[in-house]
Amino acid sequence: MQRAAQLPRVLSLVVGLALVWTACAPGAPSSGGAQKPAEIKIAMVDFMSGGAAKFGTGALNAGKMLFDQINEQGGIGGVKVSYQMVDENGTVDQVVTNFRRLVLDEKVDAVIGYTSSANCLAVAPVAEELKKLTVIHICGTYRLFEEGSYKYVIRTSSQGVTDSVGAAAYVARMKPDLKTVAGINDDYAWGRDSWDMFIHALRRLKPDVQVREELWPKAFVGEYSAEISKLQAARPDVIHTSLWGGHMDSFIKQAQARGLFGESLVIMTTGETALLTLSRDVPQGVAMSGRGQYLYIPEPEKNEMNRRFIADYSSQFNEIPVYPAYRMAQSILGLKAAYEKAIQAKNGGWPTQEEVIAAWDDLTYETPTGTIRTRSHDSQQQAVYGITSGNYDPKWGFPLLDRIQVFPADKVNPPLGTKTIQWIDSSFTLQ
Amino acid sequence: MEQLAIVGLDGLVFASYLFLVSAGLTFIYGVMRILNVAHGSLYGLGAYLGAWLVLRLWPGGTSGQGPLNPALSYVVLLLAALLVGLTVGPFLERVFIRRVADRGEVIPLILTFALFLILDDVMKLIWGVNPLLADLPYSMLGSVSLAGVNYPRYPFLLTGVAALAGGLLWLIVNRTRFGKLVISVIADREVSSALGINVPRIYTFAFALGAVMAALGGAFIAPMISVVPGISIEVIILAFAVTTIGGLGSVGGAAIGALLVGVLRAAAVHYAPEFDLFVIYALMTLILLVKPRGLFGGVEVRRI
Amino acid sequence: MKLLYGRGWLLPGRGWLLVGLFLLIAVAPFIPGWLVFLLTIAFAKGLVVLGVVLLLRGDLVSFGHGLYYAAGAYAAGLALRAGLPVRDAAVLVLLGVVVSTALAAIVGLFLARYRGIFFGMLSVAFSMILYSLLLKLYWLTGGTDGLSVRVSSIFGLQPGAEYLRLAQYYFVLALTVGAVYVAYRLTASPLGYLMRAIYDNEIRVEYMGASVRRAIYRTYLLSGALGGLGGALTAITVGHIAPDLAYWTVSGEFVFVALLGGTGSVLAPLLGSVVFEFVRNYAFKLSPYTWQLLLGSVLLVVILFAPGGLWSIFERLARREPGETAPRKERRWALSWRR
Repeated sequence: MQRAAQLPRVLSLVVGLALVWTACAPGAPSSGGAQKPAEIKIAMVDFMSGGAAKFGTGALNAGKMLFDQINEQGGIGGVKVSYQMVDENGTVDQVVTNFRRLVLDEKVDAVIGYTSSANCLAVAPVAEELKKLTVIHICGTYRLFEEGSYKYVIRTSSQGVTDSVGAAAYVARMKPDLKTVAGINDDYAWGRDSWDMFIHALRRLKPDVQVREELWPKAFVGEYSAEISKLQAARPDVIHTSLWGGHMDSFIKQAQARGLFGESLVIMTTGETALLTLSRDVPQGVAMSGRGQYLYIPEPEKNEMNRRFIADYSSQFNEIPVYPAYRMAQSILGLKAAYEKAIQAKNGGWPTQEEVIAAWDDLTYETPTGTIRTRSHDSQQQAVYGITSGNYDPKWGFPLLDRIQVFPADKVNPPLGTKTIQWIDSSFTLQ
Repeated sequence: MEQLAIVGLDGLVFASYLFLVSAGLTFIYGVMRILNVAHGSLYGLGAYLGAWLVLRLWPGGTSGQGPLNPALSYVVLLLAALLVGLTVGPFLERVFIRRVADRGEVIPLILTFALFLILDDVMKLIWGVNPLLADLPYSMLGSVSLAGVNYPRYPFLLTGVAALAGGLLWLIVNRTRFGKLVISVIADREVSSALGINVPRIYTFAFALGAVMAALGGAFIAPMISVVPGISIEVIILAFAVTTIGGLGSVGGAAIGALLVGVLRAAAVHYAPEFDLFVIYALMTLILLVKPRGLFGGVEVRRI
Repeated sequence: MKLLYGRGWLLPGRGWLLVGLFLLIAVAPFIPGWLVFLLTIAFAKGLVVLGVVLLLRGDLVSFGHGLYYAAGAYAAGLALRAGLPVRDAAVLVLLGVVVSTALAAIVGLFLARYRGIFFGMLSVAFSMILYSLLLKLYWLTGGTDGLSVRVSSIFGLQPGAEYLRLAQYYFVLALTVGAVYVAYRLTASPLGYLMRAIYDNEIRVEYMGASVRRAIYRTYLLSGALGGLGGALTAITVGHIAPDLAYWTVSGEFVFVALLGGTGSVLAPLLGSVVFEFVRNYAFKLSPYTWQLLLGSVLLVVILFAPGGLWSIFERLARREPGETAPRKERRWALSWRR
């Protein structure tokens, strides 16, 4: 064999070994054992690109700010946190592959994130398989813990039943003589679940209500002219929507240009972010919520932590924090509280991942939005709805909400261990 | 009856959008025998530049505040489209596509796919990944009541632009000297070259024309949507469907194809929403199976 | 090492092949889990690319191979969703292959009559039809949410959660080796040579008395089967599938990798796939918004300067023997794109 012909073989062998060697380069050790690690590695996953970018960036900004503050105060249990931000954008299988990369390649200690309900449902079983603590900060699908039990997944946000049931309750109060309803929701887990819960709850309150249209535009598509035509032709009393983020803004603009908001009462379960992105251009008379209690609803200045949070956030990022930012705060503060509780239980020793999760099993902690209690991996919050008015408040930079109603947590959430839809059908009531 | 009118109107709006993105594609194929995947990128560039310019010149958003008269925003969109089409188009053609023009039909297609990937990232690098919502030109026109429903006026402007662009293209091809040269090149490239026609220059001009059409589509759609990195990807496959249905190389076919697809899709959205995407590709498949050259494509001459 | 013209496609000396295989088997338990995962995915997708390459040899570019990729994956996913009692990888993969082959049998009847750009367009159209159905029939397929694909056993063996990933790797590796061997036998068979002849001039082949359509149809069947195999394997490895598996950009990616690797050997697609996955992974880590730029540029370079792909470069280096007087053009073994 000629020597020259050996060259490519030797080359490939060398290249192959080099690849393997670089890939095997040891990463930072994860805090699994009893030794205090050099750092806690956290990955935060949310939308950094695409239609939901503004939404996700809000959450990630809050995360950055909070972790920096935590590190300034010495870290969690004396250990500094190193964090990275990862884009959630992409198809669901890409998101899952990315999650695997974070766990296996980046060797993070915990993953906080996931806004899209579809991504949560896909990532949860993988988190369980890889045994990695995953804190869900926004996903609202009720199916997350009903379709599987995941030891390693914890959700600190409220689940969608709060918003949907709250929406039904709100419209029943605001428009007691409503007869017809229509829905336009994203064609994916969140949209489907939101509508399901809403219509079940509404039927409990108004058994004769008629559904004129059920529209399922492709998730995040952003162009709704055909759907708006159908809604206008149907002329329902109430229109329910769980569109969110950038595509919700597009919908508002397109519908507003055609006068949809004057014809029907539109209730947007995740409308709050529009107040900040569209500001003065928000149409009047739209019912909306921010998925729970946030910001200025109700009485922000009474909560000292909230006041500081808003002040810090606005000075660093030049805008008011939106509810995704609050959600991230809930997750991060929960993580910190769980670690501290576990460290205390171990008398100062460093807890394993399983011990941190055990500490989270029944955890109560303070956040800018008040006290949060996480039980059995999920948490429950109250629902708050209001209607947009024309009162632009220069202090906040957006028009305030009117006719605010607060629905207490135990009225709009199923008791622990009950299936959501069954609870709505059998026990939900406004009394 | 109202329903049918609504379907017709929705269909017309969608057809205008489809025509603008497909006409250029089919024209380029007719002249150069190249299916240009980067056509979607030209569309995207037009949309991004148009939206960005509108947002910069009128920072007040829908209120129209800005140094210039808001009515000029339409001119700005047009200028954006021309800029993109007349610079990026010829650049791509002369630097990249020309090198592979003689290697059949498939290799240039794959080359344009590579260009498409590159340009997609270029757009992300220039304009970032946040959506651009430049709806001033859209909201300015308000809405009108038709068939019992409030329709925004802007999409009808889009129809007008599509018709104008199509008409202009027809004029150029059929009533100018340049157009005659183009027809000659379409018919037989080698003979045209033998007659002394500067075929490479015709190619560049034709490509530029097609690129302008694509950018025009992008720039005028931008006020209706939020411009995000994914729009190029979605539009090109639709353009393929329409050009295949209408016939590769036939701009008139693209118009008919666009109308067919537009109305079919609008009907599906209203009566069978789960199949609104399916009908487009089903029609494409059907045409390919029954009349592969499309409704208005020519007859294939088999060269031995 | 002499070029083995008379024996079908080129395989490197058998010794080196076995060494490579041995390395892949022996090294797996010791390298990081992420690397194992990347390799598994690279092999699974490489099988789909192999399917594309088989058709490329007949001058047919399939821009719609995502059809089979998605069909294989969703056959597995839907079976599980419908309540398949066994969560066994082998069963799911078999299902995927059967479904995609059946689909290829039907679709191939139409496609075998088309050439050039129309073949490409029709294949894309079929794949987009599947995409539109997977996307919109939420009640059946879960729409953009996709489906979860969790397996707990392989051929009846339960490796347990700890070793599942490694077991999947070996499973995929074994199937890859098997599939590559089958593809090699095809290319070295009369059918393979017919495809090579069709690439050059199919009319002459007809005059010779051979049926071009039948040759293409049969090759297409294997190609579809490989696509389904790759799809089912990907589904099992990633654990979650979504409708985009049938989208045109995914199919385009397969064509890209086919050209990157080259068509000169049945191993070329695997080489291309491994390089692609690794480069994409690290390019994405480095800069999430420029990896497409990088890949697009690589494809440009390949098309303009190395149309035979990586494999041809590999071969060109291997065959540089002193005293060889054949002109360089002859030695560009990888199929020339010029007619």
